[in-house]
Formats: sequence, C-alpha cells, structure tokens
Amino acid sequence: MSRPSDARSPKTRNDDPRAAGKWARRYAQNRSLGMVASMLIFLVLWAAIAGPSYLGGNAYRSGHWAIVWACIAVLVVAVAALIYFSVPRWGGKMMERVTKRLYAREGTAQLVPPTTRGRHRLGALLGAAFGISITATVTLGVLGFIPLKYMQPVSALCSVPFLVALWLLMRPAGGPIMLLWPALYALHAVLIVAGAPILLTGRWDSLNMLIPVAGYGLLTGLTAHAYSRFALWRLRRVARGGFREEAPEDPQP
Amino acid sequence: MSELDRVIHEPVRLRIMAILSGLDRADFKFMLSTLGLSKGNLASHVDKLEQAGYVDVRKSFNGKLPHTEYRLTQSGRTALANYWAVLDLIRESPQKRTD
Repeated sequence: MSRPSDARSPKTRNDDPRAAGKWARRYAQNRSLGMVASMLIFLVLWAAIAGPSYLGGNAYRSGHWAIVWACIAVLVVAVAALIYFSVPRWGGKMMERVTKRLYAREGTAQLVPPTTRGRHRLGALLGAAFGISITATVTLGVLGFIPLKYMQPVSALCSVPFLVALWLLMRPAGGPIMLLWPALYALHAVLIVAGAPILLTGRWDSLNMLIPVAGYGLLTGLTAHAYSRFALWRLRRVARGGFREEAPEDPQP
Repeated sequence: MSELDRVIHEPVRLRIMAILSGLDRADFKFMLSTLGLSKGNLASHVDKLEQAGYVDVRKSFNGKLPHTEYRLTQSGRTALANYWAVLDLIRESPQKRTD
C-alpha cells in the first residue's frame, strides 16, 4: 500500500490539487506587508529624529532660535510616536489594523504558532534576555568600552541568536525567508570584524547601525512579500485549475 | 478506506479542503478570491463540508461587518489524508497491471 500523502508531501506535484495546501502555507508564511510597513514607519521616525537633531545642532551653533525650536517640536512629536509604536498595546494594535487594511482585498489566511504555557514563558524569557543584552551593549558603547565600529558586531552576538530563536518559537507562522534578516546581520558583522571597507564615516556613521537593522529588515520583508505574491499566484492556478465556476447559487450536491 | 469519500471528491470541495489543509484558518474573503467562486456557491460547498464535520465555521463581527472564518477539523484532516491515499492506490493500480 502506498504511503498516505498529505498536503505537505515534498513529492507533491505542483499541478495536483494537493499542492494547494503547500502554496497556501507558503503564502501565509510570507505575508509580510505588516513587517514592511513597520520598517518604513521606523525609518521615517529615525529620519524625523536624526534630521532635526542634526539641523537643530547647527541652528543652535549659528544662533537661529526659530529653527532650534521648530526642530525641538518635531523631535518631541517623533519621540512620542516612537514610544507609541514601541508599545505593543498601542502600536501593535495599530499595525494589526494597518496589516488588515493592506490585505483587505485578498482576505486572511493564517498559520498560528502553538500557544502553550512553556512557549509563552520561553518567549518572555527571550524578550527579557534580548532587552537586557541590547541595553548592556548600548551602555557599554556610550561609556566607551566598545569601539563605535564594533557596535554592530557586538549587537549581532545577541540579535542573531534572538531572531533565530524567535523564528523557531513562531514556527510555522514564519517561513525560512525570515531567516534572511539574521543571516545578513551576521554576515555584516563578520565583514566588519574581518576589516572589509563597509563602515561609513563622518556624518553618515549613524547609518552603520540603521542599515543592518532597518535596511536588512526591510529587504527581508520585501523578499518575503515578493515570494508571497508568487505563492498566491501558484495557489490560485492550482485552486482554479481543473474546474469551472458552476452556475451561481446552484451548487452541485 | 478503499472507496473515495464522496463529500471530498467533488472538485470544489476538494480544493477547499486542500487549501485549508495548509493553513490554520482562512476567512471567507480569502477563499472567495482564491477559488474565484460566487459567494453563494462557496457558502453552500462549505456548508456540505461543515455538515460532514470536516470544516469548522466560526462567524463573528468586525465592527458592523460579518466575518466568517474556516478551519479544517481533525476529522477533516484525516479524511483528506485517506482520500489522497485511496486516490494514489487507484492511480497506481492500472500502472501495476501494465507492468
């Protein structure tokens, strides 16, 4: 007797109806528009903090007080927005609404990570460990114990294991493409330690952290989104193939 | 297990089951846009699957808008796995005869 095959069989042929399960799963795992929107908001907020800080500093030194106060006003709004988006209760809910709106035309398809008490505890532990290690890294950097050029490699020591552990914890909700972010972040760190000329200097040195954090995050989100479009196209081909729309309101029993 | 399940064997219902087998849950809008069916057609096919105990239907409201969510039940997953197994057997049997 042949092996009972399910929708996740690797031997599944792409034109077979059972491939619908495979493409549906891949589509759901890579619906990343919410992540892309979060990254874009983060980048806009970064620009809204970095820009006025730089301009305000110059205006202060040259005595243009109107510009200084305008920059302070923008900074206050940007910092308040950053706090709002960082709190899951406020920003998380808003991003959920944004994601729903972005996918309004095609509806919702979800894979939900198992919610056991052990996983919940592990998630909380991971989050706490990550928060402590990042705070320690930043503090050591500010105090001068870590040279500025090694901030990204040192932060990779905690960020990469955290992102991989988070991916494992959230399985099967996120697909393997999501590992692109920690992979690129780790590669960036290795290149810096190896002395590759990828560090920016002067007024652009703040981008040395922004590019690996938000840039690679955005790249991962866009790659996953592109793959989700492909998966949806394949899914629709399989799901609509082989049968025609029956007469409306007159289904076959 | 030697006969094909007549509830699943209908092409639209088979595809509904196949799509749901890869997901934890999907809503009415997603199924509608993916399958390209009319609303009534999809609803009546899902109704058949619900009656057979293969699909769990949950209705709620998003504000004032109705929201319907589908998920495959455990018996639905088992029935689909059995269906594929029987189908594979049927596909293999003429090949064996020609061999």
